[in-house]
Parts: sequence; C-alpha cells; structure tokens
Amino acid sequence: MYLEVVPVGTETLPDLVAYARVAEDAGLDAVGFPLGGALEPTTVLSALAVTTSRVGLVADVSPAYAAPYNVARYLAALDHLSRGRAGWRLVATDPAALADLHGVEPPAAERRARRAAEYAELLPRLWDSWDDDAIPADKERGVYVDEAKIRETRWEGTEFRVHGPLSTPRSPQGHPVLSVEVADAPSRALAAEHAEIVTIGADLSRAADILAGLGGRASLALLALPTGIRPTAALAVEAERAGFGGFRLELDRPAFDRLVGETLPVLGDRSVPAGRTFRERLGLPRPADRSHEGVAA
Amino acid sequence: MHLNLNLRARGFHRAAWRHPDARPEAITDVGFVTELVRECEAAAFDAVFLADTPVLREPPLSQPLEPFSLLAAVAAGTSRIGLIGTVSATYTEPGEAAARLASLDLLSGGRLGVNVVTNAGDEVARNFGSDAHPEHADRYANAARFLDHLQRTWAGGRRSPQGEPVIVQAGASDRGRDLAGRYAEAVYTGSSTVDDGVAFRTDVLGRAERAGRPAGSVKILPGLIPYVGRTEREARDLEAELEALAVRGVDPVVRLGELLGLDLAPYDPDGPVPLDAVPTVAEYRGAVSRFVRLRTIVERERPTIRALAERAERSMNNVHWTVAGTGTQIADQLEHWWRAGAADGFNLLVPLHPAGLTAFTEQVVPELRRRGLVRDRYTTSTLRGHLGLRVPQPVPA
Repeated sequence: MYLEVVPVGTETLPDLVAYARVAEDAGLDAVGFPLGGALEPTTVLSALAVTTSRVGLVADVSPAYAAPYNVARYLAALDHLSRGRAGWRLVATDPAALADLHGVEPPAAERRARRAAEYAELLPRLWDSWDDDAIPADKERGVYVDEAKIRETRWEGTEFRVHGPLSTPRSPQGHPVLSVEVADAPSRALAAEHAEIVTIGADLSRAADILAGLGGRASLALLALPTGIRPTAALAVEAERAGFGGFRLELDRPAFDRLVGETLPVLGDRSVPAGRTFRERLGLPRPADRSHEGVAA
Repeated sequence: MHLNLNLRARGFHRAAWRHPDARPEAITDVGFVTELVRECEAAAFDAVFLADTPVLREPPLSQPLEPFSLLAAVAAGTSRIGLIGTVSATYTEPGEAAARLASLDLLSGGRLGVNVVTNAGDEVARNFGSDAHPEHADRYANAARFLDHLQRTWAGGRRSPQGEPVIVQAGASDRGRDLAGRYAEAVYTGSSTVDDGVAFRTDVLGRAERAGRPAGSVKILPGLIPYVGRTEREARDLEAELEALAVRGVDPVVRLGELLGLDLAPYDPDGPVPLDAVPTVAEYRGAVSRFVRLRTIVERERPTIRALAERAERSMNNVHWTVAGTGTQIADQLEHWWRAGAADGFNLLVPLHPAGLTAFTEQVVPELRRRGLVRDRYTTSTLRGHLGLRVPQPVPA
C-alpha cells in the first residue's frame, strides 16, 4: 500500500526536514506539499530533496497563473536536485489565498481546464528539449554541449504559445511523475487522459464510484483523507477492494507520529520495493527521450 | 567591505570547464555547488549570487537549474551565508514570485535576496508566448509594478527574521539606475575603472536620496574577475592557460558586431571601432548594461575592432574588471576602490572552480582581514544584517 503524507502546520526548515526524514525512515512513499500557505511547494521540496534520499517529493501545482516555461524549470530542477524523485500534482481547485496573492481574478472554470490540459501536455514536451546524452562535456575535443541534441518545442495552444528549448538538461526521470487531483468534470477528463497517479478526496463510496468511472492510464489511485484523519485497518481493506492503491494524508506532526507509531503496524504488509527514482518505486517506465525523432531544431 | 560570489558552477571563464581541475559534469550536481557555497560561508562572505535568464542561450549552461530551486537546496546545506537569485520581472507573475521568494526567505531563516531583471532579446519572449521582447521603457514600467507587488505582498506577511528579502538590481541604463535608486538595496555593476565606479556609485546614491531614502540604503557592488596566484606570474599563467583552452566558435569580430548592434564586416578589423556608426544608448535594442560598458570603452580608449573583440570574448562578452596578481596585490586594488568610494563591496566572478575560489579565500581574504576590511566571522544571521541594511518600512496601503 502506497502512502503519501502532507505536512500540516510545519513551517520551519528544521521541522520539515525532521518530518520528511521520519517519513522516509518509516518507508512512506512520498511527501507532498500544498499551495496557499506561508511556504510554497517547489521551494520546500527542493530543500527536502537534499535532506532525504529515497522518498518521493510531490509538489502541488495550479495551472491558473504561472507561465508553463517557468513551472517546467522549477520541476526539472526538483528532479535534478532529488536525483529523480520529483512528482507534481495538478490541483482541481486553488486555495483562496492564491487569488489574493496574485491580485487578479482567477481564470473561469473553462479556461482553467484548458490551461491544466495544456500544462499536462506542454511540460513533458519542454522536459524533452534535451536528449539524455546532450552533454558530452568532452574536454579533449572541446565539445561541452552537443547542440544537435537539443530541440525546440513549438507549442501553439489556445492558452499558451512556447517556441524554444527548455534551459534545463533532461532530468533523471525524464518527466517528473504527474498526479491529478480529481474533483469535478474537467479534472476527471484531465486525469483520464494524462494522470499517472490520481487522488480523489471524497468518502469511500463516492470516491469508488468516481474511480470506477474514470478509465485512463493512471497506475495508482489514492484516497485523499480529510486533514488530520488517519486510515484504520478496516478502511485500508475496503479502499483496496475499491481499487485504491493507497492514501494521501494531511497530518500535523503529532498526528503523523501516531500514524508512524500506531497506524503503520496495523496496515499489514506495505513493503514497497524501494527504487532509486520515484518512477522506479511506482513501477512506472522512464519516458524515452526524443532522439528517435531525428532532426533537432 | 562586502564580498559576494557570482556563482557559475563551471567557472566564469568560458573555457574553465576544459581545465584539468574542472568538473564539467557537475553543473547539475547540487553537492558540488553546495561545497562551493560552504567554502564562501567558511570565509564569511556576505552572499552567493546566481544570475539567470529563462532561456537557453550561448554559452550554454552557465547555470542550468532555476536559481531559487537551487538556492532552496543550498539553504538546507548552509546556515549563515546570504543567498541571492535572479528573477525576470518581465516573464514571471508577481504573485508567483512573491510566494516563492517569501517561502525561501522563511526557509533560509532570512537569508534571501532577489535580483530583479527585465531581460533582453526576442528569444526569451518566444518562451513566453510573444515574438518580440517589450521595449525598454515598457519593461522598466512593468518592473516597477512587479516590485510594488512584491513589497505590498511581503509587507502583509512579515514572518521572516529579516522582514523581507533584500532587493538587488543590475541595470546600468538611465531607467535601470532610476529603478535602482527607488527600490534596490544592493546594485551589481560592471564598472571597469575606479573613476567609472565612483561616478556610478555617486549617481545611484544620489537617485536614492532624491527618492527620499535614507543614507546607507543602497550598497554598490562592482563585478571583479580575480586571477589569484602565489606570484603575479602564476596568476597570469592561469589566465593564459584558460585562454589557450578556449574554443573559437563564432568569429569574435562578428560577435562584437552583434553586441554593438552594428555590422562590422565593411570595416578594417585593425582599424578603430567606428564610433559614429555605433548606436546611441537610446537607439540600442539589446541588453543595455553590457552595451553601455562597451560603448564607454569605445569612447574613452578608441580601441581597434580586433582588440575590443578579443577583450569582449575573453571576459565572456561582459567586459568586467579583471585583476591578476597575488593576494596582497588584489587586496590593494580592492582597498583602493573601496576607499575611493567606487564600491561598498565586490561581486566575484571566479574564472575557475573550485581552484579559483580556494585561491581567493586562502590568499586574498586573509589579507583583507588583516587590514580590517572584511569580517573574521559572522556577527549577524540574516542577509540584511550582513549588508548592514535596515528592515524596510512597510509600504502604506
């Protein structure tokens, strides 16, 4: 059984580092981080990337405001810094604090859905700008970068236009793992088409219905429990029967300690083969680079 | 005297990566970068600084990872040194920047600074949905709105030990200096003589005063490329060794023409740069700071096209002040600039890592300490503290 844990109310780096280390030592699969608080997910997880070595790191991402080129850079950096443990979760709705922060009206639902869909397609293309072997760094021949192995992304979407290669070399996983929060019709469609992980935050019977109707290629579905709630052994059995591979849990430090001390022992066998990268841990293939496409721009 | 390292993991010299001591494969290796920053921290530097443009550009990969992501990782591996990254005001949503920077300032315990730039060149624009980079005036008007947004947002939060991140700028144009006078708390500049340095510093401090800011609100930090040796000969040999490793790509004369916004093909490369044909600062369409430095050299020194092209190529098109010498000789120069009022400190563009940084911390820093010019150890814990800057007054709503 997969477990992803989200620290709640932990706001200093030493406390976050301690939380993530306990999660890692307890064999949890990932640490996630939400939007809308005093701390921002990609910066927090980039710091945790170098204080942990095995746990996955999943940043919540809103498609509502930022330019996709910038977000692609943040996540590519996280994958490099963590040596291949980055994931991103496209959220279905934003916390209210996000609109205040930007000082502009959030995009209407339709527009937001289009932006999310373009993020899901465009970011992986940007991450494929460089072939895996584009940096020979050959001192002898004086060839640092092989420019024939860098290609320009040409994206002409409804919401975004991007012409240019990413400035970051291809990362260890190729693409950070894409998780999608499913909460409404647009996010169901997005998940069906693009998600590698889905998270559904509803009571089990409704969540099971949503999951059953979802289809798509996600290899893992997580039941997202309300803040502060830990699963019982009985819920774990029922959730598994409904097709869920694990849970996403939002816990403050005391509740997290009880999860590790009291709940983990009763959840039964939850040994997950530890992989070097997050993809390996999840049994997901590493996307090939685009060198087979030949001509690079 | 403040010391910042302008960090390029592969070294500032364009051929540094080919040097036998260089680790060119380590540019995305956070362990390698963190070791360099720890070395600066052990020498009690004020900060490390990461330049950035959100585009892939020649020379490729001077800094491949987005700077604030990298600095977050570095923050986890250091405890006192200031951390300054660069953000594009033109291509970053102000709310997105405000959130990431405030977050990193909190995580680092109040050690963050942000260098706000407007970028240059249409190839950046194409990564962000347009074909043409905005005009100079529009970029700077937008940068002012961007900075206002950051400061308004931060004034409402204020959880960091230093209040809010330190604002850094690097513009040399009239509008850039004006923006610096209004907002910047540290300014990077490319002055290449003491006189230029004094003139620049006097000008920016004057603009800050006219903007109603108290004295001491802005620190001026010129860039410096140090070649350090146990003898002057050894320092010059290193420079020559790196030059010999440089790969000649684009013809330096063609490249100089691009930098000056002028086709140099019709001119004799051994004749003078045709000053009359060089655009004025107002006419120039590219990165103004670098252009101003080049144009100043043309006006003052009347170099031949070939000589200026070689000089620009040697310093990676940036024509920074370069010093080669022993620890004592370099300390003499820094002290001279500092006492003359040309600098509050320096932004070091170390040609080769890790050897060049080690040479500086082992040979120049002890000499500066002996003269009482730099600290022996940290007595403050925030970047604002290191730089002797006050916590800014909250902006009235």
